[in-house]
Order: sequence, then C-alpha cells, then structure tokens
Amino acid sequence: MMDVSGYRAALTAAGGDGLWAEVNAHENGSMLVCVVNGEVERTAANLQTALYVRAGGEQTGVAYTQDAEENPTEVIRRAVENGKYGEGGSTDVLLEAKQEHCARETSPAAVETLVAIGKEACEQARLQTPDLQYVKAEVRADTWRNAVVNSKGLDVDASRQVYCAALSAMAQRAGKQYNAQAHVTAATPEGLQLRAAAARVAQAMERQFEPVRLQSGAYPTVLDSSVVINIFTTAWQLFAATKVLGGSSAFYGRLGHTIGSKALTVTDRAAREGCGYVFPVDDEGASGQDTALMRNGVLTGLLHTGATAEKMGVKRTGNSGRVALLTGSIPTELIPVPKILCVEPGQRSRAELLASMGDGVLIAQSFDVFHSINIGSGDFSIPCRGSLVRDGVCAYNVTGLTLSGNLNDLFANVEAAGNDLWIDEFLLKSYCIGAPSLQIRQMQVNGKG
Amino acid sequence: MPERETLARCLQTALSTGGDFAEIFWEDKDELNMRCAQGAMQGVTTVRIHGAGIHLLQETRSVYVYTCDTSAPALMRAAEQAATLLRTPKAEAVPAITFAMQRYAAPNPVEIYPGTVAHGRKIAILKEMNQAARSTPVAIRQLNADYFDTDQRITVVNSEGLWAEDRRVASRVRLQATVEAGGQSLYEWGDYTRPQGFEAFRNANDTADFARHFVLDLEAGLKAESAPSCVVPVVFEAGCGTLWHEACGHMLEAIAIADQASPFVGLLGQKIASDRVTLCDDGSIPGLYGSTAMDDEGHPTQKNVLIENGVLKGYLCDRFNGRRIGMPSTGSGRRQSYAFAPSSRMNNTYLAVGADDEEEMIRTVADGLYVKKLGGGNSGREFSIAVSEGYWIQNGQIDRRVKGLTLNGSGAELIRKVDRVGKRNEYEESGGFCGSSSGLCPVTAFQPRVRISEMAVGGEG
Repeated sequence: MMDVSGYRAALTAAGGDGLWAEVNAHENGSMLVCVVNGEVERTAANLQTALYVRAGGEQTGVAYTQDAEENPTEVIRRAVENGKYGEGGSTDVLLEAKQEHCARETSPAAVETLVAIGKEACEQARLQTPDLQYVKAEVRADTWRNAVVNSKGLDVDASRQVYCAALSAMAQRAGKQYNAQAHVTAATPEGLQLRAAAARVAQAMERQFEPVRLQSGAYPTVLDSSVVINIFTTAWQLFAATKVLGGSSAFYGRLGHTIGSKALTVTDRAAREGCGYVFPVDDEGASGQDTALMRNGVLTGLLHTGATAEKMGVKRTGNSGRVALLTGSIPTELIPVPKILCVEPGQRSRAELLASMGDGVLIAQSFDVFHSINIGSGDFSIPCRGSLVRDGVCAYNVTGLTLSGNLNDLFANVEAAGNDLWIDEFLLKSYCIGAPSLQIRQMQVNGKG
Repeated sequence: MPERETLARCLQTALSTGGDFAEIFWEDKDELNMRCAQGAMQGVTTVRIHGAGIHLLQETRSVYVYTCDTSAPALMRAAEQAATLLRTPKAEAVPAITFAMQRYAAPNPVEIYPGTVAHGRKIAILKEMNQAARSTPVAIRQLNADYFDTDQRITVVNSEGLWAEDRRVASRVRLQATVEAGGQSLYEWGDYTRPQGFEAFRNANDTADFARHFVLDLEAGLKAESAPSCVVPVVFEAGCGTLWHEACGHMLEAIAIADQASPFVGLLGQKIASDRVTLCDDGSIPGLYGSTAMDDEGHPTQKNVLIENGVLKGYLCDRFNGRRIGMPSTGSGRRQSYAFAPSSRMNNTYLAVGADDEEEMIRTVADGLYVKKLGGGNSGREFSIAVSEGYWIQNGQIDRRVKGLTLNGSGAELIRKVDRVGKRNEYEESGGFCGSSSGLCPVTAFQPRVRISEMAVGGEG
C-alpha cells in the first residue's frame, strides 16, 4: 500500500504561522481480463498513485503529482506558492485531528479466476440470447485506497475492492446487426450477478429487433431503469451544493420545496446492497453519510463539500471528491460528487407498471448521457429507443426517438417507481447511480413518423 | 528517463514468454489550471503526470501494464508482470534490441512554452474575459473562467528498434456561465483551445471576443423557441464536422470493426454513402488541435481517406486493433495518457469539398432545420448530437432560432442522404476532446456546408 509517511512529517513542519496543508492520496490497482467469444483476448494491470496537495494561508493553492519520489516538502511548498494568486479569501475548512484507519490489505482474485468469470459470462449471454454472433466479457478487479492527512492531525484512510463484469454482444436478425451491453459490480467475485447481466443484454437486444416508426406525440411512458440511470448520471448535478449556491442548478432557491411527485425519493448512500462500491470517507476525510436528497418529491438535502457545508451551516455529507465528469485535464478541484445515488424503488414490478400504463411507450434504452440535459434550465432532449405498448404488452419496437421536456415536469409526472432497482458504476469509477423503472404520466416522445 | 539499455532489457523481459511485439510509452506532462470565479481568482493548481505503460502483443492478444513509478526496477517489474499475463507456451530466446531514433516534423511548432510565462499574464487573460462577458447587457447569474495549459513529453520505444519522441503543447480557456432572462435560466460551457503555447493569447481581443460572444449566444439560446417535431431536410453549416465524427467516424475505427459494433464491418470497397461523400482523417495538418507529429505508438500521422465518392476505402487503425482486422497501422493509435492502452482514434476528421451552391441548399427548402453550431454527441450504430445553435428554415429563408434539439439516427443511413456538399471548407479552429476507450484525445472535425435530404427533428411541438 502507498506510503504517505513522508507527507505526515512534512505536514507537521508546514503547519503554523497561519499556514495549513492537506494531502489526499488515491491509490488504484487494477487487473482486467477481456474474454471474446470464450477466448482471452486482452489483459491489463496497473498500479497508480495520485497525490492531491492543497495548502495555503488565507488562500488555497493546489499541487498534484503522480511522482511518489518527489520531495513532499517541495510539493507542499508548490501548493502554498500557488495559493498566493488567490483572491477573496479561502473557503476551505480542514477537519480537526482524527485517526481512523479503515483501509485493509487486499489481495485481488487471481487472473485465472477472472478468466473463468469472463468465460462464464460469455456462456450466460449465449444461453439467454442463443443467436449471439459476438460476445465480449471484460472482468475487472479494482483495489482502491483513499488516504487524507492534514496539518491539524487528521489521519484517515479507507479502501475498497470491487469486481466488475461488463458484457457486450452482437446479434444478427434478418440481415441486420444489433448490439447491447450491461455490467454488474460486486465486492467479491462470487457476488457478480452474471445471469442478471446476461438477462439485461437479452432484454436490451429484444427491444431493438425490427423496429417500426413512431408518430411524435405526448405518450404515457415507462422509463426503463437504464434510462433513469442515464438521466441521473447528468441530473445528479442538480443536487450539488456548489451548483445550487452558484445558481447553475435548476433547483436554485428550491431547497425545502416540492420539486417532484410523491412517488419520487432520491438518496445518496455510502454503501448499498447490490453494489460492490463503498465510500467510507471522502476526499477531505469526512465520513460517508446517507443523505435524503429528495423525499416524496420534496428537495430535502444536497451533496456537500466541506466548504459548502460550512457556508450553509449543515453537517458534511461525505461527498467531497474530484472525479465526477469527463475532462481533458486532471480534475483537482474539490467538488460535491455522489457516492451511491439512487432513485428509491417502489413495490411494483416493471410488468405491473406497464400493465398499469396500458397503452403508451416503454423507453428501453437512451444514449448520450452527457449532452442531452441542461442542468441550468432542466431542459432535455434525450435520444432513445423502446417499444410501443398496447394493453400493457410490448407490441412493436420503435427507434430513432427523442424524449423532449424539462426535468421539473418529468419529476412532477412520476406516477410510480418500480421494484427493479439497478445500480451502475460511473464510467470513471468514482461513483454509482441506481434507479428502478419509472412510470410517467405523459412525456413528449418524438419519432420519425 | 531510464537508460536505453534498461529500456531494451525491459522490452526483452516483456517478450520472454512468447510475445512478438513490445512497446514502452513513457510520459511526463505538466499542466497548469487557474480559475477566476465571479471575477475573483481562486488560486492556481499545478499538475504533474508521470508514468509509463508497457504494451505487449502476441498475434491478436494484448497485454497492457502501466505504472506511475518509472524507476528502472519498477519498469522491470511491470515488464515481468506483462510477460506473466501473456503466458504463451512458446517462449523463445529474444534477440538484442538496438534503437534507432525516428524524427518527425511537428505540425504545431511552439513559440512560447507556457512554463516560461509568469502566472500574472495568464491571470490577466481570465480577468479580461470576465470583464468582457460582464460588459454585455446579458444578465449573468454565475460566471467562471478557467485557464489551462499543458506540456506533454512522450517517448515511445519498441522491440522493432523504434525510438521516437514528441512534445505537445496546448492552451485552453473555458467559460462556464448561467444566464437568465424572463424567469428562465440556462447553463453552458465553452472552450477556446489552441495547439499552441502562450502565443495563442497574443491578441487579447480574441479571448475577449470569445467571452462576449459566448454569453450573448447563451442569452439568445434562452430566448429561442421550441422546434416542431417532424422529418425535414437539415442543412449543416460549414465547420459542423462533429456530425461526421459521431455519425460515422467512430464506426470506422478499427476497434469498432473488430468488436463487431459497426455497420461498416466487411464493406471495404463497397458503396456506403452518397457520391458526394469523401471523408478523410488527417493528424498531420499544421495548426489543428488534433494534429501531432506522430501517434502514441510512434507512427507518423498521415492523411487517411476513409470514404471516397461514397465508396468505403479504409478504417483507422492502431497496431493492436489493426492486427485484429488484418490491417496495418494508419498512425491512429492514440491515448489520453500512459494510463490507457492505445486504441484507434480520430485526429482531424473532415468531409472534402463538393461542388454545390451554398445558398441554393437553403433557398430550396420549404421547411427545415439550419444547424449553425453543434455541441457534443455520442456514437454507435445510432448516433446522437446536440444542436447548440439552430434555426428554422421557412420558405427558403432562415426564420427563427430554435432550442433544445438533439439529432439522432443511424449514421449508415444518414451518409446515404447527403444531397448537397458545398464548395468551401472551414477548419474548426478551436477543437475539443473526444472521449473513447483510450481516454480523452484532442480532435477537430470540419466540413463544407452540407444538406441531408431528411432527418427526424424532435422538438416539443
């Protein structure tokens, strides 16, 4: 495991004369096996440490390095120097002295185990979709360690081990090819629900075959859990305290107000059944809390960093992080990042939601997570595909669709949440989003008809 | 950087279990980030990225191991791990490796390296942008201006004796703003990027103009009307090359072909698009954000013709995915950093000019969409792309601005529906990042004005 003892000593020396410093170390080790049609095609392994050093007096500066051999005192000095260019006063509030060592030495599964899982996943996919022409299973074992030490004496660390199996497949019907993907995570290799992932691939495939055109219009709608997850992979930013305080969230000024229907409850948790991820401490060393963000339609909480919690006079939520969005640069700014953010499930199955809807549209899959929703206005235009539903049964597949509207209206129109909660890891492995299927009173669905 | 002998030994060790090719990608990169939030500087961040990756191939099997510890023992451990992961039964003696330096001309020579410029001059740019944006009559609720510069030094050595080095410098400013009008608000971000050093900011008016236009455009977007839902002709203005990047560029990358995820599998030499379509990708064009002297496998960048007069001519290949489909590298092996194995990626993707009259394309449309600017998008058998500035065409005239549009459909179908291609191409001066399996890479995409005979447009009406 990474050694931050050099920084501990340097931090002790750095504190005083109004100066402070904090070091956050991320260590990521990973092993990946990619099995294509039952044969190993690709393997990968890595071990990487990243050090985020923030320091200053009245202002904050940041230095980041991946070079563990750099002199800690020099890196801290660089951060202090960088802070001298700040204006307006630092809003950083360091946590007080605390020792909490939750990190465990972990030994990931052997490569052979990952290969066996990959082969089993391919087999499961073929069992559930017999006409697959291509199937790929990427199986990953990640170990992650997060440590925070500061000049006030804070010294905490935590770790997690996550296994992930990602399935992608291609099937051909009537001369046309179709692709589908799904993935699952678990804390142990045995915990990976390969059959569930394969079923999800089969379901996604089934909703694509031989599509017909759909007439544009307002339809009663059921959104599959994958679609709701895609929406919240962008829409979680609505709950970020920095965005709400700064006015760039459509929830600006609405804390405590009703922003959705009674059927909608959204929480952020540090651990959750069915998810391999755990988030015991955040990047400032705060413990991961369970936070109700929206309770029965009322905006009840936000995702906080230490600075925003201080500003709003609330407790820290353990959401201080850095890696939240795709960016061309190394993200070093502390921002609110979800842990395991979920739309809470209801009692009814997806089939019961469809039956309750009767006639309408099932949106089975959506694309372009990052460009289709405006966080400031809440407006969205989401490319997607699905099925036309007649008497609660999927009658025809429809593709080339766009969902148009505003998130405020969408949240207000949720009639029921299904019991099919599914949790996906975010692309950058820094948080998870989960959701069940949702029944919506009415949505504008644009087709090619 | 370790000695040549050490790197040669690492490559030999990697090959010791039967690999037929090994490569070390070594990277050292400095970044500087600054933020001016609501007019006040929030300090400065310096970033040092440092590490190496070892890529080992055996026919169509690949192993990639990377580490941020580049000491000789650590690199040797990584090489040993790669060899262990490959585990073929046919280990043979590995011959000695002698390196020969390859030098390629840089398409983006640097005049002023960012590290030589005082922070104060960079801060001044952010302050001027903030002031320029706030000098407009736009009601700005929130405004952040960010400055980034990067200086990446890479070395690629491989078991074929290649030793190649490249240095890539880029400068960028980003605006993020929320504007309000009539009880509505809209948030957006925009980048001004240049594949240059600090000379990119020689003319302060450029970034100030960018800031003014950014917030004025955001406000105009806020006042735009919803588009109707219908199937109509769509005219894409010169420069809107992201259409090609998303609609078919990704689907012509060797990884998509090998993964059976592209509609263009097995169609080489066949007619796949309108006669008017000639599509190229070229990482060697001087002055463009997607240009580099060589790719991240040490292969010089080059012009690759993908579609010529509607006929599929080639795919974009890195070394490994090229092997998977039986084709050589096209100088398209790219990665964000050493933390990614290289993959087939675009550089500067463009549609070649045609012979059609630009004005006629709009004049002959009764009802349709005119797209002036595109946002980001998504690729696959079905692509999607956000329209960041669009207008409705009525009776051959550009009528009104429309908002909130995403265009989507099948790229393979769209390229058959190109019924006009204009005579004047327009480089995308700024460029952006493309995210894919090997991380985020700088790219541009451009085109002359084109018309698609019909596309589904999905608004709220």
